[in-house]
Parts: sequence; C-alpha cells; structure tokens
Amino acid sequence: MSSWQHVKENESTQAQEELERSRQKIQTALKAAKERSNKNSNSNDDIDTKFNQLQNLGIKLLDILRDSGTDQHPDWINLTERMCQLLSPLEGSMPFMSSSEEREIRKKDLLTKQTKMMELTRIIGRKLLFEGKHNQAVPAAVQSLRFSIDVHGLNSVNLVPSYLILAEASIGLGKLSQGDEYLAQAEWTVLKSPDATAAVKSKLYRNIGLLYAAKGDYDNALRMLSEDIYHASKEWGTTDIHACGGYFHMANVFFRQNKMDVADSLYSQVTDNWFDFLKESVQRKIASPAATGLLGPTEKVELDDVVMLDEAQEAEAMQMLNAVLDIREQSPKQNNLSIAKVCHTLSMLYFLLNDIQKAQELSSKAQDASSRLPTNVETVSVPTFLKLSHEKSTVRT
Amino acid sequence: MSKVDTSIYRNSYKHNMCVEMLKEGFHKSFEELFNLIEQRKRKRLEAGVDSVLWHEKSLEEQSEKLDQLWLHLTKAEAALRVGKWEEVYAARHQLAQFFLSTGDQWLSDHFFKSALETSLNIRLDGGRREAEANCNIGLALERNEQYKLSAEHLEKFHQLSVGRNWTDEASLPHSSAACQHLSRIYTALSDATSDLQEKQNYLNKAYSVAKEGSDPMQEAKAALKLGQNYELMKDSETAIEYLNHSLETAQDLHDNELIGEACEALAKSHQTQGNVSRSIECLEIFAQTSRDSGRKTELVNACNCLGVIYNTMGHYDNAVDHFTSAYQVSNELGELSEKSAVLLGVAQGNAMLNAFKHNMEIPRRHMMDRIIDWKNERCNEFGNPLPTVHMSQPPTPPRVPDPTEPFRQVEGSDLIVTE
Repeated sequence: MSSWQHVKENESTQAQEELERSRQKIQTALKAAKERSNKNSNSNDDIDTKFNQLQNLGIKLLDILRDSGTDQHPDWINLTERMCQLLSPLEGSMPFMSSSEEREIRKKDLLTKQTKMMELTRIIGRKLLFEGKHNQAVPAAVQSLRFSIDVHGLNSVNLVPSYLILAEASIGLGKLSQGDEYLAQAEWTVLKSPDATAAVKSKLYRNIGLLYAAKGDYDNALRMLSEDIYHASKEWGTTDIHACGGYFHMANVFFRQNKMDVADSLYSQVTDNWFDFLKESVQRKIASPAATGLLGPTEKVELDDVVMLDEAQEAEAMQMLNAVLDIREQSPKQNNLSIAKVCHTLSMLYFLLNDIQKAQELSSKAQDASSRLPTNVETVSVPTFLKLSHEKSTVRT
Repeated sequence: MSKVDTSIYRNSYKHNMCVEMLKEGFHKSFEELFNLIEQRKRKRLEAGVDSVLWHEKSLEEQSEKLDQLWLHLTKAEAALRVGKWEEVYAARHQLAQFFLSTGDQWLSDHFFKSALETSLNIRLDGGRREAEANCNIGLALERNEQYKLSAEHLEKFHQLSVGRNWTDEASLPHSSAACQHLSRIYTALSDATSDLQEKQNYLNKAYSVAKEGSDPMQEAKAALKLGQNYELMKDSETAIEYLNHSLETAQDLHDNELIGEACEALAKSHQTQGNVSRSIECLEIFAQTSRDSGRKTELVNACNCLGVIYNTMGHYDNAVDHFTSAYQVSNELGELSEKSAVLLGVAQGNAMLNAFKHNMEIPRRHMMDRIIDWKNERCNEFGNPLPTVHMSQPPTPPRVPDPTEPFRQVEGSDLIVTE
C-alpha cells in the first residue's frame, strides 16, 4: 500500500511540475509573439499580413482567457499551449528570401495554422459555453468564424458550427434576437449547400429548437427538436447518445407543457441510451488490463481510448443526467426503479471520469432506491465496476 | 407561406411523418418505424443486386403503408403510456394483419412478434391473448417454413387453450384450431426428414393431435400418412390397421380422393402380406372411385396396379383389359405414357404366349415351313389357320405382334413378376 501511495504522490508532484513548466512555456511564447506582432506591424506581403492577423487574434483570445481565470485547470493549459504553438513564426519566413516555392511553403503553413486555429477556437468557444462563460465565448466564436471564412470561404457548411456557438452564446447572454439572426444565417447556409451532413443539421435544429423553447414557442420548438432527432438518428442511429440531447430537450419542453407522461417516457429514453452506452464503456474499461495496472500514465492513455467522449459530450451527459435525476427525485410519485437507473448511470459516468468518490456515492444511492422496490420487480443489472472503485478509493485515501 | 409549409414541401413523406410523430412525443413509434426502414435497407444491401429484395419497393415510398404504421403505432404508444396493454396488443395485431394482407411478410412477422411480447404483460385475460399471439407467430413461422419453431409456438398455443372455451370468429374452439395447425405442422416436419423413425415420431404426433382436433378429414389424412409410413417400415399389419381406419373415415366423408389414396396404400400393404384377393378388392374400389370422380391420373394408376397383379397371377386377359383402359385413359390425358404402353405390350405378349407355344409345339413340316419362310422373308403367317384338325385348338390371337416380341417381352415380364 505504501508503495502505491508513494507512486501516486510522485505522480501528482510530477504533474504539478509539468503544469508549471507548460505555464512558463506559454508565458514565454506569448511574450515572443507579442514582440513579433509589434515589430512586424508594417509587413509587406499578404501572407504576412494574414499571419499577423492570426497572431493578434490569438494573443487577444489568450488574454481574454487569462483574465477569466482559466489558467488553473490542466485542460485549459493544454489548450492554450496548443494555441501558442500555432503562434510561432511561419516556416521559412526569413527576410530577403521570397522565391515562389518559398511563398508556396509559407502559404501552406499559413493554411494549416488557420485550420488548426479554427478548430482550436471552436473547441475553446464550446468549452467556455459549457462552463457558462458566455461573454468570453463570443470572441472565441467570432474568431473561429473568421478563421473558417479564411479557410473555407463565405458560403461553406463549415461555418455552421461557429454560427451555432455564437448563437448559443447570444442566447445565453439573453440576446435572443441576435441569436435568432445567427441561427437564421446558419440555417440559410445549410439549406444552400447540398453537402450538409445530417450531423450538422441535427446540431443546427437543436439550437433553433432551444431558441424557440427559450422564447416560449413550444410548438415550433418541438418541431425543430424533432428535426434534430430525425437527423441525428439518420447519422448515428436512434439509440445513439448523439440523439439523446434532442430527446432530453424535447422532454423538457413537454415537462414545461405539463405533459408528464410524455416527458417521463422521453427522460427514460435518455437514461436508457446513456445507460447502455456507459455500461459498454465501463465493461471495456474493466476488461482492459492496463486500466488496473499500477502505472498512472498507461491508465490515462487507456482511459482516452475507452471513454470516447469528448469534453462537450461529457458536460452534456453530466448536465442531462443530473437534471433527470433531479426531476425524478422531485416528482410527486417516486419511481424507484427509474431513480435507481439514473443513479447507476451517473455513477458509471463518474467512474469513467475517474471521480471515484462521486461514483460510489451515487451507486449507494442507486442501491438504496432499488432496495425500496418490491422484491418481484427486476432491478437494473450493472457491471460490477464498484468493487474496482472500492479498491482504488482505499488506495487514494 | 410559413416555414413549416416549405419544409413539408421540401422534405420526403417519411421525413415529415417522423417529425410529426416526434412532435407529438411518440418517440418510441418513431424509433420503431425508423429502425424498421433502416434494417430493411441494410438487408437489401447485404442481399445484393441479384436478389429479390433488391427489387422490392422501399417502405418509404409507400405512403399508405406508412400511414397505417403511423396510425397504429402511435395508438399503441399512447395506450402504453397509460398502461393499457390490451390496446397495445390490439394495435400491434391489427398492424400485423394489415401487412399480412398486403404481402409484407417481414413486417407482419415483426408485429406478430411484438404482439406476443405485449401479450405477456396482459394479466387479466387468463392468457388468451398470449395463446392467440403464439398461434399467430406459429403460423407466421410456418409461412417462413420454419416448422420446428412454429411447432414450439403452436404447442404453447395448444397448451394454453386446452380446457378453455375460447373460440375464434368462426366459432371454432381455439383448442381444436391448435390441434389442426399442429397436425399440419407435424406432417410438414415429417415430410422434411428422410429418416423413417423420425418421420414415424412426427406422424404419430400428427395423428394423435388430429384425433384430438375433431376434424375427421384431417384425422383420416394423418392416419393415411402414418399407415403409409408403417408400410415403409415393413410393418404391414399396423399399416393396414391405420389405413383401414382412414378408409372408413374417408368413406363416411365421401371423399373420393382420400378413398382412392387409402385403397392404393391398403392394396400395397395387403400385397406385401400376400393377401392378393384383398389387394385386388381394394384396387377395384380405387379404380371405381377414381372413375366415378373422373380423376384420370389416379384411374391410370389403379388400372396399372390391377394389371400388374393380374399379370403376376397369370390372368393375362384381365391384365390386358386393365392395361388397355389405362393406356386409353392416359392417351386421353394427352400425355404419352410410356409406362402404360410398355405394360400393355408386355401383357399382350404374355397373353399371346399360349398361341405361340402351340405353333411351336406342332411338329409338322408345315410349321417348319412357316418358320423358315419367316426366317427367309419375314412374312408373318403365324396367325393363319392351320390346315389340320389341330389348328382349331389354339385360340386365334386377337392381334399379331412382331414375332420377336414374345421373346423379348417374356424376359421383360419376368422382371415385372419378380418386382
């Protein structure tokens, strides 16, 4: 046991050091970039101008991020570090060398940088949204929109995700009409381009639906959310977790309309889909031997393979399942079976995110609920991952 | 024009329907419908371009079927929400029946199956819906020629409905219906196997349920099949027992076809037992009933059998009679029956044997001359009256065949005899 603890401590101090190192790296990179941008303000060729623009935008965004106090969390440090790498000078941009080949190289480099920047700003924007920082999300989304226009042109479907972030941020800030505008822009783009995938459409309609719901226009909200589910099903299948968001928001609308039976049925569907998905992930995590190994890093790598949830989905899952649990617990006639199922699902989610304490808490809650069931009712069968988490928690405490 | 109108115009019927369904909160119906369509699409792709499936019209394009699905699925889901399982069952059953009538078997199978699953939740009807659902599934499986599974479900149906006074629309008791279906399935199962013992088992089951099912016709048929199988297993005595039973029932029912079949089988069994007179009797009935009911193929069959027996016994004239009528009837049928022609020839040859023998046995120079003439010139004078007293003794054969025939055919007839 003591060696275990030792390893763990070592690991955490190492991680701390690493974080500190990357923080410093970011600082220096940022400084260098700022200097460059000041110096090169009078550049003479279009690629340079574009790059300068990129640099300036990047610096601006990083400043905003730092001001909102995001430099404490390792995820954020990771993101900013990646961004700083993009701010490094273009390949072969030495003075007095401007052959056409060299120009080609620089052009290509600029394009990849812009593409990466687009993706990165988009991720940042989305993450800010999930953290509820709508104010900061707007500049990130605007930047991602600008970069995607640079890369894809004005009429591309690829602009839609940026529009959606912008719209969501506006709605979050209470500017409904502005959100509406962004969404209309996005919808128009989707309609014009025949190559829009069902995935994009699903996202778009979900956002439009949410806007209607926020305005209180439930009929249209339901129609749009139905479109969302339809397209999501087309892309991933009806029981996939991607379709869950649509079901969840729809359930909320029905809930607000006081149509409890429909809402209830939809909440169950959401829980069931997540339950099935997480069950499979948990089983795979248990099955992979490296996950139980002693070495921290391998465990981390394995986890990435197993969970297959990106941050957005993680946050979505957390939000949805907790909301469902709240509703279940507050409903006048408590349905212990569904409470047990939600608790189990949440417990598995926490387990996958390595929050063992929470996982255990919810698991015991689930068992509580199942014990209140009459004996002849079938309880939910869950993979036995908790034994594993017991061991781990004893190790950690 | 509103946004909704434009989207309805722009999207496919299926798309609009799905959205409409979801909008009303019928997500389970949507899921089922959507997955049914997708599943079929995948199957079609797997089956490839050369398959029958490839040319099937997609469900998406058939709006009236989609409408039916929409109507009943949402009805079922609404009932499900409030826990009215009977209504869920009714809706699913209706869908299954609808698709049975339109010939979409995969869909009717699907809904019969889900109806069965639903029926398990209905508690207050004593298992009646479960029984009916089992019956429907069994019949669906029968249509797919999965007889074993079908038998399982129908057995369940039988078991559930025995001792109950449930009846269907035509006021046929469920238990009898179960027996009738089961008997049919068991018969089909026995047809599918080539192992005699296994056949025997299935036919025994078929016979016993048929007896229970109070349909004399089916019982008689089952008995006939069982009897035939006993005969194949070289147990003629038991075979005759069952066949007799079958024959009696068939006679009560005045079913000529069945009487014929039973008689034929009986004749065979009697023959193997050596009871030729009884066998002939049966065959006579067989021939008679076939003639009466005008079923010519059977008549040919009967006459041929009779002919063979008479031939074996040496009654060539009788044999010729029967073979002639067999030959004529088969000619009437328009199919050139070689079998009848050959058999007729053999019998005629046999019948002529006596006359030929007489010719050969008369040790006269005259006869020698004839044979030599025939050898030399192939002129056929065997039939001419002999100039002596002896000549009147042998009966004149009715027709003179080619002289080589007797020899060849005597050999041939030998073969038939040993058969």
